[in-house]
Amino acid sequence: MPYIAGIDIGGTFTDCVVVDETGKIHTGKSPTTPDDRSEGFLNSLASAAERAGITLEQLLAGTERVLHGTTVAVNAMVERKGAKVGLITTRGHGDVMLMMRGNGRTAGLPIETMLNVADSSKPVPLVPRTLIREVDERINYAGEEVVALDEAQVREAVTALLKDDVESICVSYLWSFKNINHELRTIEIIKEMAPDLFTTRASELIPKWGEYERTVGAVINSYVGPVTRRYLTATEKRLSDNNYHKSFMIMQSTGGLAPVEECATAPLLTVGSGPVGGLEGARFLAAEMNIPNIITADMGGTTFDVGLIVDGQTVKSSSSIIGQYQYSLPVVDVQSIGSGGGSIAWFDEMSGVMRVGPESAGSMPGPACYGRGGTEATITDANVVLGYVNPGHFLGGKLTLDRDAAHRVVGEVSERLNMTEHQAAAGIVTIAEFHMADLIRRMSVQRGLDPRDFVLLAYGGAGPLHAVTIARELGISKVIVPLGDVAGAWSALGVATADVLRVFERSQIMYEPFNGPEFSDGFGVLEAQARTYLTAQGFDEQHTELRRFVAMQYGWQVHQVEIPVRTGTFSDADMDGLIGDFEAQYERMYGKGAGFRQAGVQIINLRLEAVGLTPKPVLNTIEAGSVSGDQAKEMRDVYWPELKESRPTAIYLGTDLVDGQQLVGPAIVEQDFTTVVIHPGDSAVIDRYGNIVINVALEKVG
Amino acid sequence: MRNNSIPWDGVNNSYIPDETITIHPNVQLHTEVAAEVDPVTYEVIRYNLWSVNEEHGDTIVKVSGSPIAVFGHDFNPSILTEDGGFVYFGPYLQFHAGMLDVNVKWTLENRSENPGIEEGDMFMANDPWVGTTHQPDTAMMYPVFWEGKIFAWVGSMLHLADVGGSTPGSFCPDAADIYQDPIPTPPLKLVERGVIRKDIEDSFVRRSRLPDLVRLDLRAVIAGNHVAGARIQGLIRRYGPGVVKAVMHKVSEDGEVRFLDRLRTCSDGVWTDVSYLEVAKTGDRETYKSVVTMEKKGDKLIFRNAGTAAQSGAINMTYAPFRGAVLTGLNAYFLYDALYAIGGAVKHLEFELEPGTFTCATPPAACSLAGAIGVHLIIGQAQTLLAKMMMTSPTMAPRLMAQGGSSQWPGATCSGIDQRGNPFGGFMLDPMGGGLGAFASRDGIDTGGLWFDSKGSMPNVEQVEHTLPLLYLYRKEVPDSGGAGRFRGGNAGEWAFVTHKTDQVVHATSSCGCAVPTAHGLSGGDPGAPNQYRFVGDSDIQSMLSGGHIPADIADLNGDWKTVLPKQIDIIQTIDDVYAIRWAGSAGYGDALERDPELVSQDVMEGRVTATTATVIYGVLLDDQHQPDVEGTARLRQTLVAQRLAEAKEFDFA
Repeated sequence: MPYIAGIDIGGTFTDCVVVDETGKIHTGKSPTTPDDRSEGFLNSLASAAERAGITLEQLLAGTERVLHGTTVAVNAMVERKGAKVGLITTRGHGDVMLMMRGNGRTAGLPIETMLNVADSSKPVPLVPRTLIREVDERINYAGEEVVALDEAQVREAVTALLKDDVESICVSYLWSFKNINHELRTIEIIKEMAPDLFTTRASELIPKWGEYERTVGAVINSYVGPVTRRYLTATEKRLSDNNYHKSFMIMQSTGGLAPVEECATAPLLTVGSGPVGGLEGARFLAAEMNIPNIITADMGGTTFDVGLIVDGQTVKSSSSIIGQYQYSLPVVDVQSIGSGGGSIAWFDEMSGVMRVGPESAGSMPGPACYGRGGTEATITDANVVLGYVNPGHFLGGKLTLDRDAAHRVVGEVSERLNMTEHQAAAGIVTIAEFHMADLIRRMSVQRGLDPRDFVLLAYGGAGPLHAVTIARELGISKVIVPLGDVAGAWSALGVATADVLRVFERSQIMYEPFNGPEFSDGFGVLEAQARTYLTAQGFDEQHTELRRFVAMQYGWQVHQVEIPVRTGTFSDADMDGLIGDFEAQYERMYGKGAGFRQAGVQIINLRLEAVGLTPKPVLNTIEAGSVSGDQAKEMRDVYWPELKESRPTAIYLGTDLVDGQQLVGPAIVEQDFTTVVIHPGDSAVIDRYGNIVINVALEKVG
Repeated sequence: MRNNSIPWDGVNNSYIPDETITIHPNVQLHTEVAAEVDPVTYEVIRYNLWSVNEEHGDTIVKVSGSPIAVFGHDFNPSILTEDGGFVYFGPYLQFHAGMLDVNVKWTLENRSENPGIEEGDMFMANDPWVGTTHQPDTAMMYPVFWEGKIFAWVGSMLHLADVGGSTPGSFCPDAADIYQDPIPTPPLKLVERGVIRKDIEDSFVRRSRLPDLVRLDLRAVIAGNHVAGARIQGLIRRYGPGVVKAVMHKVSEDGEVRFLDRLRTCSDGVWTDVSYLEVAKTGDRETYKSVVTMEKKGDKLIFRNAGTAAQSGAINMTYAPFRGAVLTGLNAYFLYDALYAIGGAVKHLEFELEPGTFTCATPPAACSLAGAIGVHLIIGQAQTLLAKMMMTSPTMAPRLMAQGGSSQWPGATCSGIDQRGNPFGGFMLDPMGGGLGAFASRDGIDTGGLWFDSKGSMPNVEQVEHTLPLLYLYRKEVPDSGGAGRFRGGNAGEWAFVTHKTDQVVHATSSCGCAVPTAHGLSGGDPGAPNQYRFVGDSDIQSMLSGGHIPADIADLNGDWKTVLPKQIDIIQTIDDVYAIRWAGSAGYGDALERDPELVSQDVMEGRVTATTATVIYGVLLDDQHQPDVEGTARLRQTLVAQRLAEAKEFDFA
């Protein structure tokens, strides 16, 4: 098999993973170049080539697919450095983006922030009122035209917006997902008047019910569009300048890859794709290891991100929020709390207790032990005090941590609490771990899932430090820290292993008794679109999968529950089975007796995932060792919160571990980009891929 | 705490529990408390208790079908101690804060002997005198048992879509008394040892026009209680009952410490706010005075309503929502960093309310409008009083806020046959757009929602048009609707619609604040604009639409203009009639003549303030590009000040 290259741009580093024909993985790392990220992109490829012992030219000449996760769009949104956008909308509804359904002040904020009324505000509008133009046109709920589109007004609006130097125009009309004609015609007129202008048609991007969330999605797309298109064009050019002309695909927040042209016109698909790469990596590994259900725990410097894989598939959410703007795009559900290595522990004067986060020291100044001027105790400082983290082996020794600084700041906390330094450090870590466990519990329980049916996969710089305690708290018996040092470029690996995916959706509101053929036809329409798409992407039938989902609700309800749907056609009688599936899922989520069958059941939305199955890397296996005995590099005193005392603890180097090796807790494995903590009473084994598989002793709880 | 010459028993009067409540020995309370909890365990359990409450709320939202619950978030889950003391209260509609503790206490006092309180039971109630804003807001209380004793209570208040009464939606503007209102229900054992009593459920939903929706919503609150109860039992198993209870107590004590610490930075004093409501019931044309006086005396805050008009018509409220409205303000101002844990602070509050007034009514007063009228009135008045007190504190003053949008909710219910031929009843939720009043150092927030309902939202227009046979002509922000001031109040909005695919829709209104603005400004700030109902019959709307034109405002139409009064029933809308409703704007802070002309200029450019208002109210002269003319503005402002002085009269304190 020729090379597959996955490149993932992070805030600090651009990571690259190249998988060669034997399945060997070569990782590359290069600083991210914020002024022109395509430079860091190419540098990371060069770095991986060097690790593989070849030149960049040789690498690209042998590469079949270049796959890429980019944060350009999300950065433009977060930093509010997007385009000047004009919005054309239905007369009488131009304020939809300004009113934000009345909850723009609090949408998506953590509860502590939400309740603080005096400090709350709406975000600065993405489109100021002066760049919003209303035109006469109206479609009704059934998709019928009530007022014809006034094309003269459209032309006037476009002329005025162009005069105001907009860089893109977004068109979003009421009920456009039921009847696209007015939006289509409007886009045609814009194209006539300004052929090169970036445009977004809301019903094309989000053909779904709910004008606010649809318009937000379309406006964000227009807002991040020009900058994303520029970046992707520049990156494509760098590749072609280096004689690479084959497949170039981009990671999407919906959980799969899309051709670069598609993301250049619909860059919204890339917003929030950052953590999705990691989840795709987890999905790949889960398939390889035959594990159906996985919870991923990715902890870095500022956040703790959680995702779910159920029956081999990532769990999706029907909408997403960025910067207090909510939009309805089905995205891989990754939830975060402000709990990272840099999260600050603070003493709450009024209650006399300790709190941890959500404030973070970030990477500048960072934890006190970074020695960059941080003066407050963070989770990382606590990890140093406990002895979990080796100050001399942080980032593979690239950064020497200031142990004294860590003791000083944790000591200050301990004095206020009348505790020893170790107790205070243990307290900081314990509080953070409980917050993290709580996030996972809520995410799974809300979906009717039991965390005990899952394996916890921990990655990111700080994930493996805390994963075992979190797992124990949730009753999860197995934690996996994946693939040795590949974990350091985990998202890039995920990008390299993702499938091509496009989601086709249709709002199809149906009432009982359900008409089976009408239901089947709805999916038929979507499947025809999907097949055309996949064929155009070069996938033959054996390498495609069409996954159907339907969102249903009880009569009177406003929230839906989505369930998977089998393939094939449905008769009217078959629809009873569908209702049964819905009710079963509903009871799993909300408890027995929560459903109310007498209110009737409604179908609201059909969703189809069109998947083009890509060739996967074959994971290399590490050498089996004749193992036993003690290969610890050293013994170190580590304070164990559950024992309330320090114990001499075996410290291993990740690169020394071999297939089949057993580790008995307490033990610590130091890798270049993370540290794995194995608690007393737990044990671990290294599997043939180099994964550290930790067996968690659950009886320690309660 | 209470005047014991009055029977505050929840039957003849509002229920105000005594400091110690009387419980029949059949029911045992689990009162073990650990002497000490280490700070880490405390933080872990504290966080868990909050998250139990959040999960409780999530469950209700997901299971409930009622748009009022889902968009208005007109509910709130709570955790209470074994004797009904507040621990946590959810981040949803805040004025329910005053309800659940009194319902639990009343239940303990009056239901412990007969029918008894057993493990697995749940009690429901919607009696204004026991403790609800109005009859649609229904309590569902669940005692959480440990070792055969009541360890804690979980429960919620939820607005049910229709619980009977004269008018669809159960806001009954024409009710003369409680007998024409939805029937109040004192605590009733709906769930017995884990099973819903069918006879009780049937008899409760029989009164409703939407029995299926009510059954669904009852299941939502029952499911929420089960989720929360099981989680609390899990915490007890893990940490032991004494430790969990100690954390519950400390949560309240922490709130109390914060409350007192902040209260003590304010000066002692007495502040009074007067507001007027119009139209007590359908056909009435009078106004009614509401007086709220707040006295701060050391660590105590005492609230009185002496001087308030006698109870009348349909505008009445009882003690519980009055108290709930006050707690709403205290939470937002004093406990913003304590997850609104009000349980400790309530010990420092006293309510000396006069029974028989319309803000502390006695039976048989009609109360069903209190959810749109009374509670919003007192929230606003309490907010103004707290703001005035906070002005005396350098640390609290920056957090004060003038009254917000929807200060009186322009209630609009509708019913008829929908576009699919089924009967419907709806309560319009557009005023959830609200708006925040001006702060002491910045502007309020245009359509910033209701400040006391952080998670609430307006439904999408497409959601409304899917559910109701209506076609919206517009939903827009209204310039100048926020009160002028040195800092401007947030603007409100207006929506207008025609009927669509039905013969007719029947509307009713239930509001005040149309004739007299109810969002009062602070320190010279102007009030927010009032609510407004506009209706044009036999208009040219259909010809306009078929001619390809949508009016930008209802005023652009020709037809037969009809007056819609704030408590009117049987308003019939057919296809040629257009109905527009505007919700009240928020209030300003400080003198409008002191506003930075640059801010006025920006407001005009962005359509938040009209050019006329810029000149007439703000005294700012703008050029063609809306840039301020500095010298002209200074001269105009001098003239305006001189005019004011010329018109000024000495205030007659009598």
